[in-house]
Amino acid sequence: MNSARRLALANFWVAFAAFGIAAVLGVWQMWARSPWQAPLHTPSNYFLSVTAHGVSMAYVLSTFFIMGFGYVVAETALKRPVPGIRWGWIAFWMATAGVLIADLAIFSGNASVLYTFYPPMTASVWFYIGLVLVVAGSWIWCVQMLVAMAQWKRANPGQPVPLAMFATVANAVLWLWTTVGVAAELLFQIIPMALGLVETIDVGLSRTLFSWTLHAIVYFWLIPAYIAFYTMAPQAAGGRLFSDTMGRLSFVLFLIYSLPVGLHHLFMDPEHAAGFKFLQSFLTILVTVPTLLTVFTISASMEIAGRMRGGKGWFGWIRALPWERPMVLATGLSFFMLWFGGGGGLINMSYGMNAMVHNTSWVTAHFHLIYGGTVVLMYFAIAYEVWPALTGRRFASNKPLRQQLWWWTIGMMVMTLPWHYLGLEGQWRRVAQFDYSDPHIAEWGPWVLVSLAGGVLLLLSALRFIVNLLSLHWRAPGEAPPPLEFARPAHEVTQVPAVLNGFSLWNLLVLILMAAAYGFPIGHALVERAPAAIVHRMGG
Amino acid sequence: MAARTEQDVVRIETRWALAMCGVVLVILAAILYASLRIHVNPPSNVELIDPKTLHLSDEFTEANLGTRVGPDGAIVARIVATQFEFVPRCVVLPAGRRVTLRFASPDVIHGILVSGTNVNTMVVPGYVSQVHTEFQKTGDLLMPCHEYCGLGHSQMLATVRVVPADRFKPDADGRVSCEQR
Amino acid sequence: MDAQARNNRRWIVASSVTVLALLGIGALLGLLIVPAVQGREAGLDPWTAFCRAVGVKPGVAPVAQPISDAVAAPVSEVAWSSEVLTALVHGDRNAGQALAKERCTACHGERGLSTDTQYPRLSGQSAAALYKQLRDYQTGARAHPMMTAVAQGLDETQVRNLAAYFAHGNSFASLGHPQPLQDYEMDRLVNRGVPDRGIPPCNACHGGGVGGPIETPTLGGQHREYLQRQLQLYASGERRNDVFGRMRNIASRLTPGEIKELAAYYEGWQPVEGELAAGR
Repeated sequence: MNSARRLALANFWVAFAAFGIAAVLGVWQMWARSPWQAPLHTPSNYFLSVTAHGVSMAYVLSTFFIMGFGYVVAETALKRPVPGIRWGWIAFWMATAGVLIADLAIFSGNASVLYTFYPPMTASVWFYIGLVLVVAGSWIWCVQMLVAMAQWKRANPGQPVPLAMFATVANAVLWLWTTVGVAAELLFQIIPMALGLVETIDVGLSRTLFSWTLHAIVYFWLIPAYIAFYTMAPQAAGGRLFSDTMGRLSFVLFLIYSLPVGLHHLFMDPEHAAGFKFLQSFLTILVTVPTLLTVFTISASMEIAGRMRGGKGWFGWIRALPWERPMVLATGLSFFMLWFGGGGGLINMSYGMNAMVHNTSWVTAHFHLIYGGTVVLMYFAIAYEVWPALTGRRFASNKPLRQQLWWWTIGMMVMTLPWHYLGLEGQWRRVAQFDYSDPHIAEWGPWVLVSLAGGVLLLLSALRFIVNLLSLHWRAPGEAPPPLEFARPAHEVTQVPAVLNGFSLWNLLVLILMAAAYGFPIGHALVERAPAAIVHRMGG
Repeated sequence: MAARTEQDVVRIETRWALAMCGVVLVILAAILYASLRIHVNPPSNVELIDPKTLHLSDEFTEANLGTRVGPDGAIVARIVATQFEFVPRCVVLPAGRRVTLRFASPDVIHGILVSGTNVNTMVVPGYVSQVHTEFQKTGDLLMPCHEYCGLGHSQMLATVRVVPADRFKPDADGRVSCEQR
Repeated sequence: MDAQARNNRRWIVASSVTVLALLGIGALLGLLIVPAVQGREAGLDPWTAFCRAVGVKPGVAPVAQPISDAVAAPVSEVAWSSEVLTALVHGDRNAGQALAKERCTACHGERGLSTDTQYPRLSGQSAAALYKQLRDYQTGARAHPMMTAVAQGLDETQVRNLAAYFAHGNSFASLGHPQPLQDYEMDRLVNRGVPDRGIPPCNACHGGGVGGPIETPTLGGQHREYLQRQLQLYASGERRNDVFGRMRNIASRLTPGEIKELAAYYEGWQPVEGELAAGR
C-alpha cells in the first residue's frame, strides 16, 4: 500500500472529521426536540443544525469514506498502483473545498434548506456550488476506478476481476448513474434559481429529478459495507467466501435495481399517478433480492469459518467464531440491525403501509438504523481493518475497538426503537420544537428522552472511534502489521461469465429500465409544464 | 448439508435464490390483493393548478375552503396549506362516510397526515393533492404539516373534527364548519 | 474457449430476458391491469382508467372525481408571475423618484422617511409589498380615504417604478439578524413560535428567511403606531387583503398588549450597519 496511502488517509479523515461534528449536532437536535430545555434553541438554529448534520452524514462522511476505501481496494485487490494519483489529489482538494464552501454557507445561516433541498426554498448559491464540487470530485474518483479495472483486465486477459474491485467499480458505475438526477436538478433548476436568473421553478420536476438520486444514493453508501461482508468478514473469521459468483450477482442486481425505484420516495406526492408508482414499487421489491441473497451467502461463509474452528451442531459454529476480532463482531452486529432496518424498509416500500409512516419519525428512525447502524458500523470495521496497513502500526488491543462497536450498536437501537414507535403514534418530522403542553404530545416525551439517551451513547461512541484511529497515528512504529488480504472463495474461481466481469450489459439494462421507469414521469413534466412556483430566497 | 464441491454450492445457492423469489412473490401478491380487492392506492391524482393565482381560483378561493357537500352529494374538504398555517385551521367531517380531502399550496412544499389514520399526502405547489378516505373513529384528530416548509413549520397544525354521521349537518349552502358546533 | 463464449452468451441472454420480462410484467400490472380492474368498480372505461394511472388525467381509478361549482371571490386581485417579479427588479427608479416627489413625499416624507406616524415609512420596503398594496388600493381590496384616490391615479408602469424606487432606499431597517429578547414570552412570539396558540414566530416570515409570501413587508424600523393599527385592523377583519387570511388569523390570536409590544419591538429593530434593505 504505497502510492494511494496518503490519498486514502486524507479522504478518510475528512469523512470522519465531518462525522464527529455532525454527531455533536445530532445530540443537540435530539435535546432540542425533547421536553428538556436545550441551549441556543431557536427554529433558526435547529434547521441550520439539521442541514449541517444531514449534509455531513449523507454527503461528506459517505462520499469521502467511499473514495478512500476505493483507493485501498484498488491497490490491494489489483496489486498495482492506482492510476492517476495526481487526479486523485485534484479530486480530493476540489471536494474538500466544496465541503468548506457549503459549510460556510450553512453555518452563516444562509442555507437552511436541509440536505434534500426543498425548492422553491432557495439557499445561498455557494451551498449548491459547494455540493457540486463534492460530486465533481467524486466523478474523478469514479473514472480512476474504471480505468484501474480496465488496465488490470488488459494486463490479465480472461481472468476474473477480484471481487472486491468488481464491487467497487460496480459502485462507481452506480454513482455515475445516480448523480445524473441531482446534477440535472442543480444545473438546470436550482442554481439558476439561486443566482437570481429565474423567479419561478417547477417544483414537481425538481422533486422527481431528486428522487432519481435519492434511493440509489443509499445503495452507493451500502455497497462498501457489503464489500466488507463478502471480502473482509470471511477473511477475518478465518474462513472462505461461500460463493464468489453470488457475490458478483448481488452487486450487479444492486446496480440495476437501485436506480429505477426513486419514485417510491414520492409515493405520497401528487405529481405522479398510481401506474408509475406501482411499477417502481414492483422494481423496489426486486432490489430486496440481493440483500436476501447476501444474508445467506455471508452466513454460509461464516459457517465455514466456524466449522473450521471446531464448531459443531446446528448453531455451534456461531459460538466458535472469533468474535474478538472487530470485523467479525461488526458483521454480527450489523446483521442484527439489518433485520430491523431491512424490515422497516419492506414496510416503507409497500405504499399501503407507507401511508401510515410517511414523514413521521418512523422514517427518520429507519434511515438512522439502516444507514447509521448497519452501514456505518461496517465503515468503522473497515477503518479498523485497513488502518494498520495505512499507518504501518498495529492496534495495541482490540478491546477499545470492540467496545466502541458495542456502544454504537446499543446506542443506535436505544435511539431508533422508540423513534419507530413514536412515528407509528403520529409524531411528525423536522419539528424544531414540540408543544409538550398538548396531552397527546406529552405522552411522547419519555420516549423522546430514551432516544436522547441513545443519541448520547452514539456521540460517545463516535468520539471513541476517532480516538481509536488517532491512537494508531500516535503510536511509535513497532512490528509491521500483516498486509491486507481479501477473502478467497471456497472454490477457486478461474473464470466467470463475461457479464459478471464487466458492466456493458448492465449499463444497457440500466438505460432501458430508467427509460421505462422515469422516461414518462420526467418527459411528461417537460412537455406539459406544471405551473411554476415562486422562488423563496434566503436573506430576503 | 455440507457443500463439498462447487456443484453443491451452486445447488444450495440456487435453492435459496428460488426461496427468495418466493418471498418476492408473496410480497407482490399482497400488494396486488390490496390493490385489486380493497383498492389500496398511493395518492394518485395528477391535477395541475397555478400556485401563483391560487387565491384567484374558483375552487380554492377563501370563501370556498373547508367542508362542503357538493351538488353531487360528495363530501369534500378543501384546505390550503401555506406558510405557516392551514386554512381553515379546523374542518369537520363525518365518520363512516366516504369523504375526499383536497389540498393546494400557493407557496412551498408542505405535507399532511391525519393522526391515527392512513390519510397522508404531500402538498406540492403546482398540483392539487387529493385523498379519499372513510374515518372510522370520532374525535378531534391532529393534522400537522409534516414536511419542512420554513422556520414556522413546527407551529403549522390543524384539526380534523370527525363527528358521528347523524351530527354532521350541512347548512343551506352545503357547508359545515367547526365554529357551528 | 468456445464453451466459454457459449456460456457468456447464455448468461447475456438469460439476464436480459429476465430483467426485461420482469420490467414488462411490472408495467403491465401497474399501468394496465390494476387500473382496469379498479376502474370497473367505478364504472370507468379502461382507457380513462389507464389515463388516470399514467397521470394524464386527474383522479384515481376506483373513485369518481369530485366537482366544484364555487365562484372565485378573491380578497386581492394581485397575482404574481415571473414577468411582474422581474419587472420589479428592473423598474425605472428615476421615473419612480420623480413621481414620488409629486405624489408621495407630502405625506410619506422625503425619500419615503415619514415623520408623521400615521403615514408608514416606505424607504427600503420590499418592492413586492409596495406593489401589492398599491394595486390593492386600486382595486378596492384595501381601502383608505386618501390612498385609494392616489393609487387609482397611477397606471401599472408607474406602480412598478414607485415600488422599485422606494425599495432601493437605504434608511429603513434592513432584514437584519434577529435581536435577542429578554422577555421569554416576547421571544416566543418573535423568534420561537407559540405552538399551543398556533402562532408561528413573526421572524419566520418577517425575518428575512424563506418564509412568507413574496409580498411580506419589512417591519423593522416602521412606526409603532402604524404597525399597531394594522394589526388591530387585521384582528377585527376590517383589513382583509392578506391572502388566505394569514395576518387576520395570527392577529386575532394576539392580545392587545402583545400587539403593542410587538409594534414597539419592530420599531426599535436596529439596522445592521451598511446593509441595504432587500428589495425584490
